[in-house]
Parts: sequence; structure tokens; C-alpha cells
Amino acid sequence: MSGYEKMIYMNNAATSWPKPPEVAKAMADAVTALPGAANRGGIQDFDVFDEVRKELAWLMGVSCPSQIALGCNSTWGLNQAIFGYPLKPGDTVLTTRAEHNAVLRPLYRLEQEGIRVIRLHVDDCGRVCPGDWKAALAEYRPKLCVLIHASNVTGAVNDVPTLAGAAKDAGADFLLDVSQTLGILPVKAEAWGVDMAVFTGHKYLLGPQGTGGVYVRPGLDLKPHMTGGTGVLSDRMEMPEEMPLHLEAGTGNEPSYHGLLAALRWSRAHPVDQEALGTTVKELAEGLKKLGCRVIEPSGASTPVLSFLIPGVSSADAADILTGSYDIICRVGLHCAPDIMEDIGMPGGTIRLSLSRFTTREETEEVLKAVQDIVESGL
Amino acid sequence: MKFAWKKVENCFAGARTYEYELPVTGQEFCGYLEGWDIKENHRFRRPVFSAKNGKLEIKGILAARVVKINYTAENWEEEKKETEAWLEEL
Repeated sequence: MSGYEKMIYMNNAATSWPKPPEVAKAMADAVTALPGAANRGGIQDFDVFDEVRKELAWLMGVSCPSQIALGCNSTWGLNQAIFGYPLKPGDTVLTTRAEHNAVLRPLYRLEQEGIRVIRLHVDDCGRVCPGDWKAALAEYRPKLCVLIHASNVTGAVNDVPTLAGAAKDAGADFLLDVSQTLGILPVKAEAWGVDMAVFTGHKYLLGPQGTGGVYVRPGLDLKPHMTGGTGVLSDRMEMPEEMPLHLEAGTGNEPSYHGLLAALRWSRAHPVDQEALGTTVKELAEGLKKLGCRVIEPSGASTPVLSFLIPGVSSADAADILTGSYDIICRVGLHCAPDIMEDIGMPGGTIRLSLSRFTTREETEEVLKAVQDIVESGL
Repeated sequence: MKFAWKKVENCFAGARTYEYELPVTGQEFCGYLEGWDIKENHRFRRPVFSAKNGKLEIKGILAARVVKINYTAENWEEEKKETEAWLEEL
């Protein structure tokens, strides 16, 4: 961490920082050690991917770790799920305007190929209204529903048990994007009736970039979006049928998965103090509001994300000053979720502060002082 | 003036923002901008400046060597080329 101590990092919804020290050590050890696949995975060999699957299965509430395919990020998982799901022209996909471009862009491509895509409005906190969802299910009869668990812009957590249950009742499969929640909020994929869940390792799981994937419920067959070598059944032209190899073409990112495994084990031993984190976020929101900022503050469950605007000050300028003048790392703009902006009443984008379990009260106080300076600066 | 430039990752719609690393600080750079509308703001821990000439605006930290330009013209690529030619001449 040397050299970065002065930074106040509030961009955890993009990539979490800092990581537990064990992550870097595990990655360094993996790079210097003999590659795991060197002897083709005998019974006595440590298989980091299988160990990660076991940890993820526990965390995601799924009973079959081998149904978790590991790739390089959520986008990889979403492309596998969306393009691999058996849709044909005329079928309907129900999604929302709160989704990330990792969902919106694959769906846009499907739309060009004759799939109908319904993008449901969300409320002014970025949350799907269950009544609207049920009405859309009844009206459009989708084959597949795609939903973000919590908005990466506002932090609002969707009522997944209700929404997934309604999708099931309507005969639709349900794809849940847990990129913003896994590692910081409970996810119970099987209990909620989730058919596919996509995750990334570098956000609240505290792992490195280059890790992520997709859980697919047993019995749901996705057509592999990528094909290639698997190290087994090499005489066949098609990908192996069994999961996870069915979706895992090519050599995996072994050093990063060692890092992710270290992060997952560290996190299991050090659970998030939800109450303390919630209080920190709430105090920050209150402080921003006292300074006259317009803050999106979702009621109910939320991730430690705050989107806000400083009236009369360009968001880009404010973010430049926060970073350039105060070493506060935040993110500004549309956050790769362009459609939600109109629904939350901030069409030009927001300034986003995303906290983590490591964020201190001293840091949030520094942020408030910096925002106060901006407010009083006459910019 | 020699400089290096890089497009800045920016999540705004239609953003065309570039950073330029200069051989001088923002404070010194402002000395080259005769006739520009220059504003300094010393309210911040590291004071900032903005310099405007017509529609072109350059912003930065006074003590830093990196300035930022968001090209807003319809023919922004031409605007960028002209701005960089002007910078080279400084």
C-alpha cells in the first residue's frame, strides 16, 4: 500500500481497494510456483478453481459448486448467460433501466437479432417496483428476466426473492447480476429461485481484477459463448457437456484466482460489520445533504454507494477537485448505466462515492470538508 | 512546448476529455495565456485554475503539470489538432 496511504478511496463499486494483504501474497506465490495445470490436475493436486467454486457456492447459497463457471469478470459471465441462453427471434427478455452496460449492450445486440427487450422503469432511487415487475411479466410473458441485485449508481437493493418468485410464477428464467452485492450483502441464489447469477471478484469480494463468472442452475443448458481447449475430451469438436468445463474454454487466470481464494477466505473469517458500515454511509449522506447537495438515498436495503450532485457545480469539475486537490478517489458520470439517470432525475450523471468495510469516519469527514470547500468556493 | 497527451476515462455522454502533461506547472502555463480569461481558485487544498478562450477551456491544478481539456466543438477533432499545434508553438 506504500505511497497510497494519503488517498481516500471511495470507488469500491468499481474496484475495491485496499485488498487484504493475503491477496497479494497468494498471487505472488502462485506466479512463482509451478502452474497448477502442469500435471493435468491429479487427485493430490491443489485445484485453486475448485476451491474458489466451493467458497463461492457457500457465499451464493448454491449447493453444487461445479455449476459455477469461472472466467474473467461479470461481463464474461453476462455474455455467457445472455448469449448462451436459448432465445429465438420473437422471444422476450424483461430487464430494467437500472442495468449496467454489461447487460444493456448484450441485450441490445439480441434486440438487433429479433429478440424483444423490455426495459422497465425504476423508481427515483433506482429500485424496481414489484408491482410494475409483475404487471410487465403478465403483459409481455418474457422467457428470460435479467436484473441487477443492487444498482451500481444508487446502491438500492432490489427485492430479489419477490421479483425472482414472480418470474418463476410467470414461467420465466431469472438471471441476477450480483456484481455489486456478493461479498457485502447476503445472496441466496437457490432459495430465491435464481436460475443464473453473475459475479465479479474485484469488487466487494475483495479479489483482484480478472476474476468473475456465472452460476447456472442444474438442468439449464447454456450454449457456450466461447469455445476452445479444456484439457479433457480433446478428441471432440464440441465443448464438454458437463459443467463447469462446458463454459470454461482456455487457460484460467490462476494467479488471480489464488488471490480471489485468499480474499474469500479472509472475508469469511472477517465478516462485514453491516451496522457500522450502514451508519458511516448514513452519516455521509446526512452531511452531504446539510451542505445542500442533492443525494440519492434509497430507503431500505442498500450497498455502501452514494450518488449526489452539488447544485450549481459541474459534476466533472467537482470530481476533478475532489481527486486533484484532495486525493479523494470517486467516480463521476453515467457509471456505465446510462438509462437509470433519467429515472433517478439526474440525466447528466452523478458523483458517486462508494465506500467499503475499510472506510473510516475520518475519511468521510475529510470528504465532507472537501465538498464544503467546493460548495463555498463560488465555482 | 513539448507535451504528452492521453484520453481520460470519462463516463459522461459524448465526453472528449484529454489530459496533457506539460513541462511547466499550471501556474507557469497560465503565464503563456495572454488574453485568456484566467480564473484561479485558492479555496482548495491544492488551488486550481481555469483558462478560457472562446469555447476552449483548459483546467488544472496550479502546482501540477497536468492540464485537462474537454473538446466541445462540433468539429472537435479539428479543435484538438489546432490546440495541440498551438501548444507545440508555445
